[in-house]
Amino acid sequence: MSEFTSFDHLFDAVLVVNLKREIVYFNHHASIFFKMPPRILKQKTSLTQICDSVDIDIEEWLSKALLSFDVLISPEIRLTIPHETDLDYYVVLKLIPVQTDKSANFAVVFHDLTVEKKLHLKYRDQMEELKKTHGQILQADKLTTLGELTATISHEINNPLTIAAGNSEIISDILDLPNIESRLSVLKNANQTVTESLERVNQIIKNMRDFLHQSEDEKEYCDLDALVDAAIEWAQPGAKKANVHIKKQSRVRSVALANRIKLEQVIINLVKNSIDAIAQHSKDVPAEVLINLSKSDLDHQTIIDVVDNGPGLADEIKKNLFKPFQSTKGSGTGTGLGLSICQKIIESHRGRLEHVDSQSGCHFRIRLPLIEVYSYARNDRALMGTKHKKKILVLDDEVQILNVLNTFIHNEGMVFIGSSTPLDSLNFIEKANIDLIITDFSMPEMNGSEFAAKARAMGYEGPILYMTSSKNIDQYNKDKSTLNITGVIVKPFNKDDVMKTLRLALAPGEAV
Amino acid sequence: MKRLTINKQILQDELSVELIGCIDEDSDFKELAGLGQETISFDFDKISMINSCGIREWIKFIDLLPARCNIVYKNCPQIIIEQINMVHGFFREGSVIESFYAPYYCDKCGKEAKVHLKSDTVKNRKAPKSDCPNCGNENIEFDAIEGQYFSFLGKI
Repeated sequence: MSEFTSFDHLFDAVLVVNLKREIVYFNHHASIFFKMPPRILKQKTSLTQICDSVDIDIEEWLSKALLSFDVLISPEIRLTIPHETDLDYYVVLKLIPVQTDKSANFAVVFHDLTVEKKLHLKYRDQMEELKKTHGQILQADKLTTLGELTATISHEINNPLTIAAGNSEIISDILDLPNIESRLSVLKNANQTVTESLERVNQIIKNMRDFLHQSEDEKEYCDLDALVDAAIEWAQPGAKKANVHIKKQSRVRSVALANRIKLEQVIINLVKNSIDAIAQHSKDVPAEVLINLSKSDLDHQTIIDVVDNGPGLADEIKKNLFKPFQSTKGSGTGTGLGLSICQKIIESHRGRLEHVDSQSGCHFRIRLPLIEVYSYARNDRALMGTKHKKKILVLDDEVQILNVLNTFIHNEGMVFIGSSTPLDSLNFIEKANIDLIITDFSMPEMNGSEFAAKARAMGYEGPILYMTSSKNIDQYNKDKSTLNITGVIVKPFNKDDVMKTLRLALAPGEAV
Repeated sequence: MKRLTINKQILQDELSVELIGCIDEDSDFKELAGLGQETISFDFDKISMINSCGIREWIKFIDLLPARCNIVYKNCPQIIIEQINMVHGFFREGSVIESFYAPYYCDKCGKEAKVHLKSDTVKNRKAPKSDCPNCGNENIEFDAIEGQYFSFLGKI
């Protein structure tokens, strides 16, 4: 069978079978691959005497190729060799018609993917293990933070409880009086105070539960002002004890696509570090931690600065600041993992945590990508390799609306790009190829009409939907023709309302 | 799978390395870096498996050995001989394969045997005569394709 000797030069095992499915040739590598000396291989007359697969019926597959006499490629299959039970191969089979002067045959090529497959499985397992370990470290850090905060939290709970108890006594006393009616307003006030105090306790406990909750990988649109407020609330008792004043400055209204709890954890960590540093340092000026929210349009970033007027960091500390187990605190008071974990958390949001050199005090900066850029990159990456997906830009200053629409649109397999400010949206429209825009109508910076007019002036020609209550329908009726507004999603809405309107706007005239 | 263990001894001008287990993606030959002597001999007798990632690691390691070193391969099992025959770079030019195993089959007792051979006993890529270690049959058959199996001898 000298006509087949060229197969001997291949590093894939090749068996040549005739139209009766008999093996008429095997190349040199076949002997190595099947762990059979040529003496044994020569005795084998059919493919299934040599190998088998649980994934496909090799005989049936061969019949298919013989019928069509065309090249046939199998999916990746697991191959077993009857006499080598320990051997597990992952291969792709290629059937190639080979016509010689004397006969028609098929070359069955065994393309070995075993190493790739096993490496893939091995590294996937290791990645899972790493993720698990990382999650455990995060959780441990949270428990440490929580442990450190517990003393001050109990103080926080004691305050409203004392108030509630005091007012409860007042209520009891009044109830013992003969003429309750005359003290009705005092009674109502005391009752109101008890309710508020208990709500406050409830809120503190709820915050603790949220903070400790483990399944927290989901990212959502978050109002950064509210998020920073919550972080301050956590750190406040410790700050009061150390006589440190925490201030917040917000130059812009910022929304981030983030894991709220994790981002809160980072800010608490940074603020706590500042408080601890200031507490150890004698001060001539009132101690202060400032959290400043701003935006860099140039870098498309939201910036959170945490600045204190404490002693600052020594040069040797700065060098290894983000390495694990680096701590400026005394033994037993810090794990030294805080900043390293904070950095990992911010990086998982495609952001950066950096130390900013300053004349006095300590200054940390969190840079987060603007939500338009992040949500686009995140969705687009997830959908990479699938067919073209529609890109929907949703502009709304309410984070809850963005989160609801994100779920609706993402679940339908479209790319959701959230935006909380019209100017950021307009910047983004210029750069990305958006298929449809949904805009809130009543926004502080400009209304839906003004936004749509600017988008049209920039050359955006795709459909625009308003999202508003029925009171703005008149405006829609005007804008319909002047700004080519495609439709309205009327608030309150449900998923069907949104998705049907969206599909109709994307493919007018098609059944939905 | 058994991870690769590397045993090493330096005596006179020779670094003797015994390799045990699997040569795969986790194999690390770093511990041998800088130990190069006039002669480095590798004993493959206890190698049970080698895969393509291990081959890459091996070639990378062999490439870094000083050119002045004489490299000797000893007791190469069939899986190593197959790689030497197939993969460019597995065997550094000018190296020596002192000994290896070759597959034989005894048609009298029906047993397969891996016979230990010295390279200089193989002439013209023909398998030397051997006795069956099981039944003593004086003329057992070579159990591979001679031209292919002994092709590494052309590289020496």
